Amino acid sequence: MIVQELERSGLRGRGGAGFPFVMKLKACADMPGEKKYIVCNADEGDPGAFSDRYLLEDQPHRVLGGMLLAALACGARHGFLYIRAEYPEAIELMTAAIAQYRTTLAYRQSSVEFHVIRGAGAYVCGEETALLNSIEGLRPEVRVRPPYPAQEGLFGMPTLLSNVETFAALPWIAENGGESFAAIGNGVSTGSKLISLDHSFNRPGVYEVDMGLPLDRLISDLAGGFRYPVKGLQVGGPLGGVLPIDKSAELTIDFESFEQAGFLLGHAGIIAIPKSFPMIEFLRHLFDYMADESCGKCVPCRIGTRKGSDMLNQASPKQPLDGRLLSDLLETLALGSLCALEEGCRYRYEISWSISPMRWSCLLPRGRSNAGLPRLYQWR
Amino acid sequence: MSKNIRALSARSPEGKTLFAEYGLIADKHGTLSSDEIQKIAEKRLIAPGVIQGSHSFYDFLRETNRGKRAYRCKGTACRLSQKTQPAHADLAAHYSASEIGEMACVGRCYRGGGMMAEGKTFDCETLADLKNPHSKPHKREHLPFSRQPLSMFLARSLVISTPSINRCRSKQA
Repeated sequence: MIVQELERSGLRGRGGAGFPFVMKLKACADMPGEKKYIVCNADEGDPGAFSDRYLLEDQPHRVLGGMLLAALACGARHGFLYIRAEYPEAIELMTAAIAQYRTTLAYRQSSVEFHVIRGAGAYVCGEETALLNSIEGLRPEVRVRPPYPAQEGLFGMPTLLSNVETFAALPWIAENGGESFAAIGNGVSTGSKLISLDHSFNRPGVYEVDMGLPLDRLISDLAGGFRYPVKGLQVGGPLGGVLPIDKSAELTIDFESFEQAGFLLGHAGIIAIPKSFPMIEFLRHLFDYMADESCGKCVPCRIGTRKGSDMLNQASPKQPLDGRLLSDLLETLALGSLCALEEGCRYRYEISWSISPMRWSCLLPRGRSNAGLPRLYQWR
Repeated sequence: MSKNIRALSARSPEGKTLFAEYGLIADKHGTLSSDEIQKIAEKRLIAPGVIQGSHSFYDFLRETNRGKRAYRCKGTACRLSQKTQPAHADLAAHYSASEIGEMACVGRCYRGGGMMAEGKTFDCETLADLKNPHSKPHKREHLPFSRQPLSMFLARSLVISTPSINRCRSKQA
């Protein structure tokens, strides 16, 4: 019955990709297997996102309830919560919540066991297949798909893996029905979405909004605007791209609106970039981060992120940046990597360029101030 | 190779995975020693090189984490808030330079200047808790949360509803 309700609800994964949840659940339920697993991806690695932290710390039973419903629907007897080590309070509270759950009738009736796995500091573990490798004790590198986790996931068994917010929505759907959930939103992206706003907003924090809410309404009406002049927004973590502030009036909070404009809603963490902060510094920070966090499985990413980081760190008016070389490098990264990590590099670079071309032009060789620009804009 | 290791890893009870064992051992010194790697390898029938390759991947298990007791956040929001250096200075008042490391993001982006020490997270405004970590119990702070009238995340604690479970069970039956 929950499967039908989920079908009616149109619930899509809240981790970033927006994949229909019921398809994953049905795929896992239909797979034969002596053991099946539920895995909750609580490795909320995107800087700027803390909505999962809110759910894990303030709504732990809602997350467990969602996992329990999913486990019963697909016949799993064990659920894992992979929580990042950077959230020690969440680990503590979730462990306590599991102990409470074990005293309930729900546990006695279902006998579904939950286990907390503490992460150990690796951004790439937010990618579902890397996370599965991590739990198994292997090097957390991205797996080639297919087979998908629903077919061959944790310990080689059918596994339903989804994000904290997705599981947390299940109890509401079970109680209120899928149609009530589908009535919220714009019809394609249904339900509500948690948004994390950083310190640059007048009223920062976690906001629960209907899918389809205009972004500028969130910024001005709910969050009270910015504390200081802002030139861009990083939405959806390092992979989501940088949104010029004047674009915010054109977007609504849903998967389609962002995708059509060439961005990613991702995990919906929003970080505002102050006008006074040089974009080149911002990009250096992001490339350094990517170079540190690359899992190393794909050669273009392993070598390319380091090379990109070096190029940006060495660039100066005296030693200009070769825009064409960087453009080629980013194209190689985007085409030659298995996960979304490098696709994100492309968006960041291109849009940052559009935000402050003057700052960038001083880093280009003399007489070639537009080198690389045409190809960069083709990507849009 | 991976399939074999995966199968070996699957033999352990679900609550005692290989990865969980890395974490438990690393709690003592912040990393795994060669002897500890060897012991795990013998117990789990996995080559030491595999364990070395796995544990060295993680920020909190690799050798550079040895002896670290406090961490400052190097996430994007903290970087833009310009509070990373002040956070480092605050930590330096309590820990030596060799005891302070960095971590990706502690989820304190709504204030900036995030840090982690003594198994808790702090930011620039809750630093008083860090200054007296032993004399005063760390009071957990609820995250700032705003919701609409029709909220899916309204209840602070959910009683797992038996009717929902029964509905699922009847479907399975």
